[in-house]
Amino acid sequence: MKAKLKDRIFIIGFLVIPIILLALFSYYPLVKLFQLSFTDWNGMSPEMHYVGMKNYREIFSQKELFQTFANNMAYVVTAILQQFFGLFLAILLNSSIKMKKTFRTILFMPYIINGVAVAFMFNYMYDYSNSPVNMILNKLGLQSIHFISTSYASNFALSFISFWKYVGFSMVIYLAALQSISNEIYEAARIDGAGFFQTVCYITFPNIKSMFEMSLLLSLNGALQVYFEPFIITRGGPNGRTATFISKSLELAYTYRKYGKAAAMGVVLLIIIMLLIVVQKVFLKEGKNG
Amino acid sequence: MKKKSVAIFLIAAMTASSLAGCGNTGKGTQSNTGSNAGIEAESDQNTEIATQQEAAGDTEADTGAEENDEALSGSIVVASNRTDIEDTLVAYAEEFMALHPGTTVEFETIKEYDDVIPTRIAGGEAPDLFYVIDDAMNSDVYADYFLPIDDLPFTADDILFYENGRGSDGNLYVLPLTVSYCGMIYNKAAFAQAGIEKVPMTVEEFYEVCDQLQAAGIIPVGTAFKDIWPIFAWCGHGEVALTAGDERGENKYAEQDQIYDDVMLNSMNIVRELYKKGQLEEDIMSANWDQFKLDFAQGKVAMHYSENWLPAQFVELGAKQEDIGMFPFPGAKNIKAGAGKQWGISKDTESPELAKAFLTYMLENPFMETEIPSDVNIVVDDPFVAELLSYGVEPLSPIVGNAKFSNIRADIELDGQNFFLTYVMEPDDLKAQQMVDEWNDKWAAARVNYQG
Repeated sequence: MKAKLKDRIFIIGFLVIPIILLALFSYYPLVKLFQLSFTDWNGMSPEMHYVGMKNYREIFSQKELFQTFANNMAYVVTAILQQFFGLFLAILLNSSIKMKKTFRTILFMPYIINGVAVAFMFNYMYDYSNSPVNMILNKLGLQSIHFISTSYASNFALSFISFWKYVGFSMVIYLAALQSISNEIYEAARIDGAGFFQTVCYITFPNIKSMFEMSLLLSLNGALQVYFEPFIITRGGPNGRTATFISKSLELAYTYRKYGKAAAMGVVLLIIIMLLIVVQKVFLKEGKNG
Repeated sequence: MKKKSVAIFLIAAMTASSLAGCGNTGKGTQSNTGSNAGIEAESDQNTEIATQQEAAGDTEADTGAEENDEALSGSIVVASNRTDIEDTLVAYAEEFMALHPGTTVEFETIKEYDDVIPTRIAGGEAPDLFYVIDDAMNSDVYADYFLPIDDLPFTADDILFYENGRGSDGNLYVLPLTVSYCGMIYNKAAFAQAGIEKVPMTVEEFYEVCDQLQAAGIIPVGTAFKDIWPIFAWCGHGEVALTAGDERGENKYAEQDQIYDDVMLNSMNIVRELYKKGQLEEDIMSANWDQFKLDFAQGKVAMHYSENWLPAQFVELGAKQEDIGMFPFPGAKNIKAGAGKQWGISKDTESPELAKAFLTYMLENPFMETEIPSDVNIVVDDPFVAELLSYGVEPLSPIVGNAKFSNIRADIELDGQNFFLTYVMEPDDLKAQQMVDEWNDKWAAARVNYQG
């Protein structure tokens, strides 16, 4: 009895803090977000007025807000490429090459660096006149590149930042999955005369499918919520060319002091992402049945 | 037992780590966001300012109102964005405290001022003294955040833009410490190198000068467009209207259906034209402020349209003072004169008397010699402003307005500076005109709701 009570105190002791933290920093802000989305709060005023569905009506009547998803698509494409590249690196590092651990560390490093610091670093890399990349190109007799311009390609330049930052993370996920595949299967295949591509297609892929799905979901989720690259490097410009849904909502909150409407945009994105997850779940279930 | 102590340690560590990051606001370098960022920076000037005082109306004569000789006490926090002169500010506060023993005045320098202050206000933690955040506050809401300061020992005859500090309810809430003049800043060495002897006074002359500079391998006009705010003078509605001789300033636009009328477009089209001719920085999307300042100081860039607080920064970066000058915007009817940051006292301050005394002290004793104080009783002499005013173009300051303009602009979510960048970079004239029309339509539609 006494031991049981002790256990309970122990368990509660451990759980109380995470639960309080979760409630305080996750659920309370979420509830507040819903509340704010029905108000016209300006971010400072002690009082807020409820305006009903006005914010939502405004959002759905402003088609330019949803056009930003076209810019998000560049991040989605990059996120998918990132999966394949991460997997490629993982397969390489899972083989018996030299200095595996060093490469692993180097590739994972960008993930640890603070996102804003990374954005500042690329801000420098993408500078037309001072970019080291352009300097090298010039030395090679090539023309300088306008990384940030009025074309859609600017979004790819920005999404490459996420690629660079997160590819190491994808790699680690796949590496873990790969290492869980028993070596015996590979050996058996090799005895049967399977080549490298055959082992990848028939053994590696099927075994890491669930990991692939999870990693893809995380990346897509991230691609929809991306904001710091445009927010820091281009401020969504020129002409909203590089604005994403979230960078737009931040602009609403900080530039026009429309916190209520920005909160409503947050809720809309939340619903979109939830729908995406449901669709993916249904889709995957069908895949399993079939 | 051992297990238990480990568990307690872990819990303690978790609690501690959860509290980490709840710390104070960071200190760093000066924030450069916002249209008039750094406006209360360097420069000085003198008596002529008194003549351009527009602020009409009731000059309540509370000069020398109750010179409170009772000993001051308490402590206040003064929030400044000038992280670059932190030591100067500390010394400044110490001087005040030496005059008034028993008081504590602490300067808090905040990097992201425009973001941090609203959050602090929302949390009921406003500093005792802070200045108006342009995007977030206008005369309609002064009363929500500031204490009335009609009883300070000043009148409209002492402080420029005194009347502009009134809230919509008629009380005085804020006052500027400094004033500024808008003009074309130029590098005389670069002009000499291109063989230019006379500053351009008309738009045609200006284009000619730009061609000459370009031929000499000098960038004619610097924009620092990447940071967006440095181009405020070209596209700010108040700046453009006043330069064109309309004393209503930005208020004029609340009375008409076009937010982009010919006056605005004339100003914006000059930059568009320069961009087409390749007379701005090589790639304006990566032309940043710091690089621009360096290039200007070294004479690689010849001109920049801004305000009188800027030239001193070029001198700081190594340019010779006699090489930097200012002339009126080509073709300008007037030189725009404006108020610097407008300071007020938080309505929640616990030491209102001390806060008022310190605000008075700040108004009477400028932080830096290089500023042009709003107090006309202080005589200063600034070479840059002296040159700017020597060309015979009269300064003009805006008449007292209301919050309509900023309310409508926020309503239609117009970011004028960002739009200006888009407008300049749009190669197709027809499309550019379409964008202008769209904003004009939105403006006309929204304006209806703000009449009366």
